[in-house]
Amino acid sequence: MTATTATPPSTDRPAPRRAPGGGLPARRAVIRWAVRLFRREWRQQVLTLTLLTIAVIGATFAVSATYNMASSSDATFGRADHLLRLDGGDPAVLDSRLAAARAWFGTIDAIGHHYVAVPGLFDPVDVRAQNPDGAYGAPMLALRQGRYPAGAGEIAITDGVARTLRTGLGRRVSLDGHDRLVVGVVENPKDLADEFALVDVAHADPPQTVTVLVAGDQASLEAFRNTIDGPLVRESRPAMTRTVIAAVTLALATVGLLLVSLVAAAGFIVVAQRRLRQLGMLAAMGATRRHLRLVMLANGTVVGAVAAVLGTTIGVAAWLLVAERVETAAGHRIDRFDLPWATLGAEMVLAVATATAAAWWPARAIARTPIMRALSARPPRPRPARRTALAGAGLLAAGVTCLVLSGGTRPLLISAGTLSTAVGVLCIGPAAIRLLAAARGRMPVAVRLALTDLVRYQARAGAALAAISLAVGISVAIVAGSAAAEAHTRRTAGLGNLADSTLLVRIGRPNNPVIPEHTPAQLASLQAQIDQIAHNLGTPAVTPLDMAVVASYTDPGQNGSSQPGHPAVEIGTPLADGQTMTSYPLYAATPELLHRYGLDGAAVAPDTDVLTIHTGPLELGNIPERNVHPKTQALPDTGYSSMPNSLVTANMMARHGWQPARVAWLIEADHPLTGQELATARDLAASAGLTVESHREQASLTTLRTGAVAAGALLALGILAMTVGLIRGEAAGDLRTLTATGAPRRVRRTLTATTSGALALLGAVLGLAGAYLALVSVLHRDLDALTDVPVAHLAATTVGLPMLAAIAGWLLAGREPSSLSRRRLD
Amino acid sequence: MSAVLSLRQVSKVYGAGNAAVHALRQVDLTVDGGELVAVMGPSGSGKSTLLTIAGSLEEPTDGEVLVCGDDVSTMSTDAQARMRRRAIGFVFQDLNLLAGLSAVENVALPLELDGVGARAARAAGMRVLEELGLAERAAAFPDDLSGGERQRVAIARAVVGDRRLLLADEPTGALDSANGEAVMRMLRAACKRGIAGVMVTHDAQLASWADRVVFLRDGRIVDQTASTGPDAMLAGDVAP
Repeated sequence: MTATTATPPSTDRPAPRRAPGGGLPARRAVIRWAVRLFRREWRQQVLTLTLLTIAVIGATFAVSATYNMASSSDATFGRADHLLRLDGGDPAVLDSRLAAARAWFGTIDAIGHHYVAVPGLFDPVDVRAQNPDGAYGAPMLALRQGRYPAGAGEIAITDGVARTLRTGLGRRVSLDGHDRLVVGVVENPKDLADEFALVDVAHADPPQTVTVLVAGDQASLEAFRNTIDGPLVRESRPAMTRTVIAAVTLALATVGLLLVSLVAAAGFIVVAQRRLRQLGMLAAMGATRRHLRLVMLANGTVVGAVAAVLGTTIGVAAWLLVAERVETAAGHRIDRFDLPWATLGAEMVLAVATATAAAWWPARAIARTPIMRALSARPPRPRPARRTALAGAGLLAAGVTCLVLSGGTRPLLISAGTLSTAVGVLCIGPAAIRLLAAARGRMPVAVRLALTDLVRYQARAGAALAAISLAVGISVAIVAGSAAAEAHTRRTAGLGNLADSTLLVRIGRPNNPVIPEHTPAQLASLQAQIDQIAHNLGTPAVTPLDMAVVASYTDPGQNGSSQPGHPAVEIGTPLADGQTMTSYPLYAATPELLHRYGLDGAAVAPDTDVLTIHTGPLELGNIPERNVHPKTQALPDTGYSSMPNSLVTANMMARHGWQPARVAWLIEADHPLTGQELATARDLAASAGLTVESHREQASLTTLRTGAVAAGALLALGILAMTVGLIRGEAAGDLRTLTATGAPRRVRRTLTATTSGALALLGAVLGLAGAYLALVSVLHRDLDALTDVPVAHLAATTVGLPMLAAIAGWLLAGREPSSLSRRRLD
Repeated sequence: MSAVLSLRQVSKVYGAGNAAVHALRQVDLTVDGGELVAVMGPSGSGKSTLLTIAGSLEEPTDGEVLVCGDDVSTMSTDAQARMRRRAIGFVFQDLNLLAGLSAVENVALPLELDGVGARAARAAGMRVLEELGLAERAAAFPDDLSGGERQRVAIARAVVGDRRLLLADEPTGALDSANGEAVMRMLRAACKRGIAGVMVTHDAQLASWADRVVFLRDGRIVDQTASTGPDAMLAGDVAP
């Protein structure tokens, strides 16, 4: 070795001009160290990393799925903003309106519909004349096989039409007297249920209706409407685009991410404590508090970045794997790579930000630890719990207020209230630890020591308790919330949709506001089929159901894909925006139907417009007049949601000139229907193009509850595994003393079992209390929903979890910890 | 040489009331540049407290601590941190190096914390390691270094840059005698370069490497003696 003889430092040399805090080089050095530490010690953070990654996977998948699964308005509008439905009955009028639309909007895309009745089929085939390269309609048409038709004798069809007509590519098909060669298989990729045949625009028959796609703002559309005499059916693209849906999903996922970040904060506190001595060394070298904070914040950022990259990659990969398989369920083609990348990018940034924010508190606490205390690896003195508890009480009060004010419908208040309540419960943790420790008086020495250590290492114990409380709280909220939802559904839907002895046989699709026109012959044919269904069920009561329609209005058909009809008069509750309303089916109060409710004509007041079970302000819709508020009379509530619950009187119909139109039959047997009877009824109904609704079993959420309890318990046990070892390691000195004084292995086991059991018990109690507080606040107007307590699941959480934690602690504490003989340096 | 470290009437009391512990009582101590002072005394005499107060790791309850003429006890925490980065180097008994950083990165860290660019700081660190004969171990991480090597790297970090004051708390406590002597040679050499050194030790033989030995008892300086050992030892009669 060489003794150095370097030049002595010059004491009067001016200090170099550098940033007081070390500037960028210092930050870079600190971040480099933090990243290196993460690479060395990532296993210690695997639980935090896993949690964040799972949260990001969930958010990524949910955003991708909702973005792609949401039924796109492109199915109806293509690239257009609005559509007009024009009647083709008078070609001259049609041409003039098309010309007017072209003059008004500039570019338009017209799609002609010609409905062709096929013998033996209830629904006609929509023969469509559409330009595949249309300015707005192109996204609504895609070629699956073959080519587009290009002549009078050619046609392309969808899979459904091919099955219906029992034809296919290369075969000939006869429709409406035209014999054509099937040259292609087409589809509406945005709506796979849209069945049609496509012909060359230049060789199409005169259309019965024309859908005109146009672009422009709402004002322009309304201005155009005012230039047209007579009714003009028009629709505008709904504002709730799938991008908005994805953004809303992201907003909801953010709340989840924030809750997970609270658990992550507990993990970061453990990491900070493990690094206490090294951070003390860094401070001794001259690092400022900001540098010390930066170490932990950089760690949080790295964890967040890794979780963001991993989670997004796995989430997107999972979506890519399942994307094709959910096309049928979604009802439209899915471009698996068509993802809301900007939203996903925002979600990644959010994940990094929440992880960094989660590291803020431990970073702040560690930076304030006196250097000598850090160098000796002694945790900060426990702070008086009273102040934190008071803050917690304040946050709880704020959270409860937000949740009460939300009424269960305002997402922003619900999110703020949930977060505030969660943080409030977490703040009460230290006080709860002290309260439990205060009860240790006459307990065995090992139990007393364990409880004392929880107070001594309050920062770690408090962080772990917070995380456990949160995990249990989320689990309990899901358990109790799902039970409440079930109870609410039972009460609002009464006994379900229908009695198990009842069938509701509908013409066409349910919830279709347009009632198709039927000739008397068609109705007679349908009635014959209903009689056949009824015959197979014994001697049921059959009640025909009619709806009121405005005969002067003709709708060319929804989406241009079904046959024309008349809009049914609706009744509903106006919503706050004044533009929309929650509507309910409105049936004609025929004598047969009134009899079904035990009423006769005399029981209905002469000036009654509507008999209904609904209360509050009601308004009629789908009629020429506006703001028609009917005079109502109470209708006996059957308790079944699909039964006719609003009836329009004959007087009202006569006053407005509305006509009854047959929509369904109610078939009530004298016994619960068997599976075989239902299957036969469905077959008979399907053969006539009818649909059958029968009693639906109400879905049980028991599996969800069990899953939530298991997930909450697993998470809590993971947090305990991470924390209890650390607390017991810190208290190794006590253990050494106990061992030296002859304490058996049982004492060591009891110490660990008590530590983990006590933390789990406190976490379970606080989580349970917090979750129920939040639920009671949200459901304060409907507390009956909470009377169905899921006892088994809650018992598993509050009793099972602490017992499991204690048993696991007892079993795992058998081996002598290395810290007993050798203190960890870092 | 001018005084690099001056402790004037420094007292330190831990706790309060009946539980109060007087770790230091009105201690006066001055260390000049180029001087190595050994602090000895029984356990609980206040040796380590004196060192940590001198290094601004703790605040004195009373009195003044001047480092290079600046009163450390009145500085803000950030200013104290800056003082530690620029003027004070620490060597502890163990846990001297930061895991995750190589030897040269550990040495360069105080400079980087002070705003020196990574390349320049590393070059300066490398120069010090070369001077101390550790150039070959520059890229090694603390886990791969022996105990002696770790202490030598710690000394390199304590003297890198324009440090004026080197504070060592039992720097050889965890080393065998050969490595202990090597470390003492380095401390001695650093002081020869003009740095003021204060070393806490229990070992009288190691204390003989110092220019002056200060004895503490119950928080008071009870004796100070000039050592005759260092020159004789450095004359080469003791094997490194």
